[in-house]
Amino acid sequence: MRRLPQQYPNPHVRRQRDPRAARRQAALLVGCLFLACGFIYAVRQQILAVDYGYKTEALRREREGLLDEQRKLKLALEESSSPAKLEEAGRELGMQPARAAQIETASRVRRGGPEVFVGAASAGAALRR
Amino acid sequence: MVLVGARLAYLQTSQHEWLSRRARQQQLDEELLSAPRGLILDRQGRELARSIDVDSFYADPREMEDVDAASAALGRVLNMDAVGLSTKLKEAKSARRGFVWLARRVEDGQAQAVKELKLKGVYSTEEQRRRYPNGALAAHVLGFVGLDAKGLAGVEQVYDAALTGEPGKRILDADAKRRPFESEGLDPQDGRTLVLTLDQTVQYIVERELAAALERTQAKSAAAIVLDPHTGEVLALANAPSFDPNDAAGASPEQRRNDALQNIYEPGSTFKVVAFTGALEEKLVTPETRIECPGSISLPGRVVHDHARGSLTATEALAKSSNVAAIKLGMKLGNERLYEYIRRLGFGSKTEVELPGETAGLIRPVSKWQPGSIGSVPIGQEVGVTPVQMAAAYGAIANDGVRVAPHLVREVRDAEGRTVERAEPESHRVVSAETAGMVRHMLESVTLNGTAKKAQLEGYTAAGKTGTAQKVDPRTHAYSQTKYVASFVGFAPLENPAVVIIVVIDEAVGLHQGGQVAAPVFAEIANQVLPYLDVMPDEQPDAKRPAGQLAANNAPATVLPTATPAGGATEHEGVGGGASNLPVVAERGGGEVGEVVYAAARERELLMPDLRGRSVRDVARICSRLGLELEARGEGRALRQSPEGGAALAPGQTVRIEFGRSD
Repeated sequence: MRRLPQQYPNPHVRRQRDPRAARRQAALLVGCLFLACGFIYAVRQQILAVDYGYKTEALRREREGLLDEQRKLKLALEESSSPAKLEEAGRELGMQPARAAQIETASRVRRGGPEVFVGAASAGAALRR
Repeated sequence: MVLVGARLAYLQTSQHEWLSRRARQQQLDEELLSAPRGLILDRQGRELARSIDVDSFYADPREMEDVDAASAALGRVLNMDAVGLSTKLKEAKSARRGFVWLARRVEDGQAQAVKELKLKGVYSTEEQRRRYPNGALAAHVLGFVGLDAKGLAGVEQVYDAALTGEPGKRILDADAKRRPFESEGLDPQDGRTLVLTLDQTVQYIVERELAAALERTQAKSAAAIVLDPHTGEVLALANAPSFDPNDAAGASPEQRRNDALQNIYEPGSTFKVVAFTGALEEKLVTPETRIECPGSISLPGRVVHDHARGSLTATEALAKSSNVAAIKLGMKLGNERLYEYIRRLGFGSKTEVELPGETAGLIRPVSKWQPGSIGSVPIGQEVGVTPVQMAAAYGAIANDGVRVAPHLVREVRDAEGRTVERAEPESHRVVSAETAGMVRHMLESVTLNGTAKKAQLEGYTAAGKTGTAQKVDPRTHAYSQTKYVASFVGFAPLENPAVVIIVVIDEAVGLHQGGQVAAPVFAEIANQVLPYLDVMPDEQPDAKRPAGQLAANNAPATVLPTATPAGGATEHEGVGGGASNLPVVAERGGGEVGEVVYAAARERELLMPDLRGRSVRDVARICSRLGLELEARGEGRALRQSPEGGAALAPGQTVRIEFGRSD
């Protein structure tokens, strides 16, 4: 029976460097980095989208609020310029509704001394003098 | 790992639908968007009605800890009965109800005050509130809406479908704090805009004068309509008493009633125009045809009396509102033709004006007339009409015989402002232009020499007819001796009328004749409306114009007119506060200059103007302005007068003028 020796010295093996492995690793790293960047970019975009969503919704609500305010202001304008309010304000200023006699039907002509009104006499115009 | 994988597979397969639904419920929120009800504008684009968002408050009583304290605070802010509110909330709480309305459509100030209370279990939601910025103005035309924003009266009711918008819906993606960050859905579609034919200012003038007339006459109610006879557009439609559509719930049924088209009344003398128009159209008479008016006329079953006597021309008979003349003309026409003209002028059928509740009036077919009906119908008895029908009939006379259906809505616009519907009123000829012209001039004599002198205008010619009808007493079924409907319907200016105005005053106390109570309201309205509408005065202050008329317009009781003979410079003196600084000089085309100088004069004094050379119309108008009784003789130009020009006069004094042809 053949017996094997108790100890065999390991031969010193030097592994040959494989340049392809390094390239694979580099490519993998770059790929991972690219994916990570893409992921981070996507996450950021998503966060931005949500953030813009919040802003859009806030702006939409603000717009609705402003439109509502505009409607109320238009109403207030109509209320304050209603004929009853205008008459009240006019009378406080000493004005009164126009009458037929205050309509000028033709151009005014100045001749020498007093003013001359062609056509209908205008009490309103006379008052303005 | 296996367990996690198995759980994942289980959730993704058998629990997928339920979990997805639950997630959507957590992440998605649904928002219903109410559509603003459409605007109502007047013909100038001024807003008469608009909807705005306001807060409504509700409570979840289950969340409320101290109902009494919360009720007291809410009652104080919302002006509500705190005890009643507390009882209501406690009942709801014990019944485990989670929703109780506290107050709906609250004003901004109050809403802010409620929010500042920060009460637990009290929430707000937005609802639309209809607001009418002019308050009671045009209330009977606009109508009002109910709590559910549905039109309940006026054009709000008739055009409810068009005014109501399409509500929108929005789906919101919300985060854990229910803050939305994304939304999608349908925007609400605003209601359509209604453009009315009404003019806010004209409506205001009419309502103001009507309210003043109601107060002055102590009448039960009054109604007035201003109509453009050429287009049929209603410029104003008013009733008094009125109500504020912003608080329609607080108005009585009497206030809400639209008498202008729901009140059937016996028109009386204003209806005489039908018989006169028919007789002229059929060439049975001319304006100069003389009609014998003996003071009464016997008819089957009764005798109709008349205050106008003598041999009167048709024009004079209409001016004096002769019953006998109207009946005789009705008889000449005959039942059938009279009925035909009644229907031609639009009586007995609805005008189709765009308001709810219009009545067709009461015009019986000839087959149901009594033998004595021919003595009643021509003088406006046994018939029932509405003010809007009467205005439209006179509109036909004013519009050269063409009746244009009265209408209130000019156009309907969509939310983008495009016109989607435009009024196309029906129009048709009812009498010839020649007949209409003759009737117009005959009606002018009513304001000049007849029963409606108080309908004379400042600077404009006017025509129309008064009516004073006894009301039927519902208890005795006989004509009342105390209740009358006074009316005046007329138009101005005479040759190209810009407006037809009808004024109907129901049960005036004291003076009750149309010429006394309704005609002055017509004049007040027309005197303000015509200048506003830029209608040029057709009576110039030239040599034909009554002396001192400008000053008389403002202070008729204190005018001191004096005049030099026609052809020379005419000088007038006017008085009154402020009138002294009104120097006015008038020039006419031919170079002839009339100079009118207004100066302060002694108070309440009146001098007789020199009326020689003036027409009957001018003299009548001057006397009416100065409050003088005119006794006129003859026709043509004024030849002699008594008292002489410059003589002192007492208010109401009778002056005698003799007219004749100078050639």
